This record gives sequence, structure tokens and C-alpha cells, in this order.
Amino acid sequence: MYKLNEEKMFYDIADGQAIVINFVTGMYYGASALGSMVLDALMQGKAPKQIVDLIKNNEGCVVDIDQRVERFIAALTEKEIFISDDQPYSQESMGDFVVVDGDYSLELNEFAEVQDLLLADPVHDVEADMGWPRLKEED
Amino acid sequence: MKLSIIMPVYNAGNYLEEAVESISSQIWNGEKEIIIVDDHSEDNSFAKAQSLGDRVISVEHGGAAKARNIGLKMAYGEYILFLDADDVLSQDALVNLFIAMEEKSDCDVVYGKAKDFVSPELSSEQRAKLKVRENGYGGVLPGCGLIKKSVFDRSGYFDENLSSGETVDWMMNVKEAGAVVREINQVTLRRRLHMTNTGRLKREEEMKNYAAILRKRM
Repeated sequence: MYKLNEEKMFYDIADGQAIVINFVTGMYYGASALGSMVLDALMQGKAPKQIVDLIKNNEGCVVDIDQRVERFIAALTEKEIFISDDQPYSQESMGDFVVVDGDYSLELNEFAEVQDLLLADPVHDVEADMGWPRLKEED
Repeated sequence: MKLSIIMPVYNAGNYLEEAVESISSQIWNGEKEIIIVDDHSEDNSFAKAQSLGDRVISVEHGGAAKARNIGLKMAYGEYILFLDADDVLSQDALVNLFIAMEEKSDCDVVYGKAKDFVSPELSSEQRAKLKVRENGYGGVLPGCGLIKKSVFDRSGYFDENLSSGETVDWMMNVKEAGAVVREINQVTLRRRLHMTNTGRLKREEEMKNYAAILRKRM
């Protein structure tokens, strides 16, 4: 299954809007409403096929939803937000995926404008054996 | 009044004197006031503050953002610098910050760099657990920034709904409002690492605050 790359990433969702913060690079990521639902389902250990099947329950679902989800997950792994491991997918049932206003977009948006601010804040107080921060220290 | 140094303090009585001494020993000798806002500490912070600050107030516990805002409302200075009670200024901090500020008349904020130091009372076992940034690093730590007070009138005060990350949130607002921000290479703040730094104790909460701050901007 896919799981969050916890060494680098922090995930949170509120009001249907998922956000992932990379505390190594200071980048952060957001997604559309459907993308946030998919992200949250992956966080719960759900299988991509189960997710796709639920999306298909929506009347008027786009025909290429399988590929869209596949590309979305590929983007998540490319950005090292999710990593795969050999744990089995969760078998628990899920609620409906209600697609609003026919918005089947599944894009991962990347934001960089606060990198410096995020990297330097004291939230980076860490234990010595942890992976971050990688601050711009002087040589 | 040229400068108001605002020190929010919560249970940092053991460190407060060193922080104030770092202000008193500055090379810069302009007119300044030290405002200490005690966030209803449970230790001796308030008693110590009364002997150290020019103006001292104890408020109902409400977090750093609220304490900073109260200090701002009390401030007479044309410029503001926040210094957390457990940190210390480099001896030439104010000189360097004011030189950079006054070189350009349109400058609103000047940030210096910070460098970590380990609080001396820590045991060797505790020290071994800390990741210390011994070289200067840039950022928006409160004690690194000299800020024109007029910036707060334009961009607003700190968001008191945030239990942490309020300075980053504020700085984002300031930059979005088009304020002129300069950064200098000199280390102006020495940041104390101890076993009760908020970022270490409330990590999950701090992360959630960041998520909330950033979600507003997406």
C-alpha cells in the first residue's frame, strides 16, 4: 500500500482541503476537492482500485478516471509525498466519493513561495537523529 | 522613543535576566524601552520581570501572539524588536540592524541571522539529543527582526487564534502587502536550545498550525 513519507512530510486535512508540507524543502502541496479525497483515502491505506470504483459511482464520471488517479498517485510518489510498502491495503469500507460540480480534476499543486519562512521557523527543533532540518546554514 | 523591545515571557524566569542583559550590553546606545509581557507564568518570571523591564505587565494566559500584540499596543518606539525571553541578542545586533534599516529609507523590516546555542544547564545526555545549528541561518525568528512600527498599522497584528507559527503567518502577510524586507548576513540572535522549546514539545500542534496558515493561502 501507499503511506505518507513521514520523514519529510506532514499531512493534514480540514474542510475537505488536504495539505502536505515538506519540512525538508519548505514546499507545500494542495489538491482539488477530489484530489483531497483521494489523498485522504490513500492516507487511510485504501487501494487505488477501491478508490477508483467509488469515484465511478458518480453519475457522469469521466471515462479516463482510472488514468487520472494513476497519474495523480504517480505525482504523489514522484514528489516523495507517498512511498509504497509491502503492507496490505485496508479492507475497511469507505464512504461515498461525492464529486461536486462535475470536477474530476486530479492535479497536485505545488507551492514554493514560503520556503525560506518555513525552513527557518523554530518548528524545526528536532532530535539529533532525525532527518531535518536542512537549513541554509553558512559554510 | 526610537526602539521598543517587546519580550513575551512564559515560564522562562531562569533565562530572563540573561536576555535583558543582552539588551543592556548592546553597542547601539539609542533610546529604547524594554516591555515585558508575562503570559501568566507559573514560575518566578513576573517577579523577575518587574526588576528588569521598563514596563511590565502580567496578562491572562493567551499565548505568544496575544502577548506580542499587547506589547505592541504598549510600545512607544518608532521601531519594534521582539526578543523571546529564553534567547539573547548578539552584542552588535542593534547596530547592524539599524545600519541596514537606515541605509534605505523605504525599508520596513530588516532580518539578521540566528545561531543556536545549548543552554548550559543541560546534561551531556540531553545535549546529545539536540541538533544544533552552529552556523548562522536566515529566517523569521522574532529576535532576528527590526520592524518599523508603522508596518503593523498597515499589515495588522499577530493572529491570536494561532498557538504557534504566528510570526511566519504575519511575515507572509507583510510580504504579500508589499513591504520592503532586507536581510543581512550578520548573526543578530543567539537562540537557546533547551528541553522545553515549544517546537519540541508541541510538534504535532505546531504542524497543524502551519497547515492552517498555508491552507488559507492555497
